[in-house]
Amino acid sequence: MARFILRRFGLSLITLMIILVIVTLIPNIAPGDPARKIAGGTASPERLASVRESLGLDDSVATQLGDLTRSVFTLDFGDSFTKPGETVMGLVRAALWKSTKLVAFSLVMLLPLSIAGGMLAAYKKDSWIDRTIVNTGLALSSIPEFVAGVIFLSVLAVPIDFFKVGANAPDGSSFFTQLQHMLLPAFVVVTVYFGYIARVTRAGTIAALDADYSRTAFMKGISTRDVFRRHVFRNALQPTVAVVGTQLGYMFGGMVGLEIVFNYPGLGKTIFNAVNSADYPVLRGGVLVVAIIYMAATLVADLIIAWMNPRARLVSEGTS
Amino acid sequence: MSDVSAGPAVGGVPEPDGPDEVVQGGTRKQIRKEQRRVLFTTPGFIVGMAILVFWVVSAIAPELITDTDPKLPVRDDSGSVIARESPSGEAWFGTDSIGRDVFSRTIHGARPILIVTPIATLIALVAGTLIGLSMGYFRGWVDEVLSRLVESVLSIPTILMAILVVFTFGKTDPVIIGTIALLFTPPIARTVRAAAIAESQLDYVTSAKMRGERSLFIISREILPNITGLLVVELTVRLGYAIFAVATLAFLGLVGGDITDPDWGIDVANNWGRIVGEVWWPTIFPALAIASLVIGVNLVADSIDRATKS
Repeated sequence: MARFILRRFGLSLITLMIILVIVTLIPNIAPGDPARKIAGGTASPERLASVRESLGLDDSVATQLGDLTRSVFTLDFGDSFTKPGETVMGLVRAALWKSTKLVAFSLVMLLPLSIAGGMLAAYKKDSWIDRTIVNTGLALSSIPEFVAGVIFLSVLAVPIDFFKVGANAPDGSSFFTQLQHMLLPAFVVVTVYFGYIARVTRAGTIAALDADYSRTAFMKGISTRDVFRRHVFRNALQPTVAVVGTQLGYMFGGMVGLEIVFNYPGLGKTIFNAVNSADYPVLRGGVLVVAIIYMAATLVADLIIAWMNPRARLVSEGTS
Repeated sequence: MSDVSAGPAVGGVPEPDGPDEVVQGGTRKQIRKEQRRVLFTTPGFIVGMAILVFWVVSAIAPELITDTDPKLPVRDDSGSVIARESPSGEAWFGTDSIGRDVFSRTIHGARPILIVTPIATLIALVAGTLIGLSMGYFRGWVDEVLSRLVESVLSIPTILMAILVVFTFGKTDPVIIGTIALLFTPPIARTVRAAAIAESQLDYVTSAKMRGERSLFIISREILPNITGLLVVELTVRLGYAIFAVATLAFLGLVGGDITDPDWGIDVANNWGRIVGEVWWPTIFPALAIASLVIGVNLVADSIDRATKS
């Protein structure tokens, strides 16, 4: 297990380095003066110089890469361009906390629903229940979050007082008020991700139910509930764990549209605001933080899978 | 592409003796025909295709469906602009805050997204297939290096990477197409790589190697025809994601061209703030258009996927 963890961790570090190279290269290979693009067309020469200075654009690409690598490990991405006195990390940290709340609440609604849905579909394979779950889930997945967001906004938030238009509760609100405000965006997350996670769970469950150990258990006369509890869960949920791991990073940073529609100051909106105000350090810092979260999430997911299924450790050592 | 997928029977190339060539007394041609017959009678495929055809017609010839100008305000007989008019027999989807006809804008809005997304997806498919085939066939250190590269691109949410690139390179259609193509190449390469590895272990590839065929021949004439089903599925699935990405970029204002042109994402962005004031129609109709297009593409992708696996 120790060897597996080390190897897996090493792979994550390599991936992080490649991301750093890509993010460093982007402004350098963009046509025209990157500082002018970043600072905006009307920026004064002094401003351009300070942009160049703070991003190190006059240095060699290697130096820039070294600086950016250092920022990732010290979590110090310098100062914001547009908000005087604010550090990038200060802004990102506040947004990260907001995103964590929204993602956690969404997962609490999403995971039980979609896992139960997927298992039910697998258990009732080829029945109308199965087809309904699979087809609705499929149809709704990959609808952009902002589309689902504006639809919920107009059919739920406007006519029904209980649902709030803004997801961000006023400061100092009670726990339940905060949840009430986050209800609609969490619905959107469920709408968009239900189909994907239910499908993966369904496939995993069908494989587990088909396996010899489950057949044997059924034939021994063990009740359906116990077969699921003792034999199916552990095996069926491995693909689900992997998928949730990879989707976590997307949930943290990829829901820009959703955060804008519900006016929620999470990572996505912070990054988008940085785009609009040409605050490149915040944009870059935010993207890198999301990449780090993604890697941590997939790493943890792989470790959980290895813990659930010892064979996975061997497989990944053989092939990668 | 099409003469390759029609099989090596064209042009006197020997039939690959793959395991799926003779199954239960049917040749591959017959199997394909059977798959197509199953596909064309699947309800999901028919509904999905109907949606797609409707939007493609709207994109190519919107004037067949509506003759109202999407960019000019609707005026009443006295010449004053009818703004924020709720849906009625006159304006089916109502008018927006400066009096433009929402139905006409929704129909005309199909064009930009249906130009950008298929081009981007096709480029990604060609590049991803080439890279994935060489990774899966040759393996070795090139595969290792490219695999790491693929994984790193996949570990940044597509939409964030697209924002970063489009912001730095400029908001133009070629940049958006290039960005989407670049971001979708790695996941396609990964899928194709896995399929190429599986195919490479089959007897027909081994025997082609024994015959002393060149790698290029084996990859293009032996393996490629056997994974066309997978490629079609991949094309449609990625098209769905491309619509997702491009619509979101437009909603965020990262879009090429004139922002007064009808575009679903831009129209939602310009109008959703008025939902709270109960003016929902200029937002909801373009939003539903995006949703229906994605649902249509998903239904078609899923039906093709099932047909090729049946």
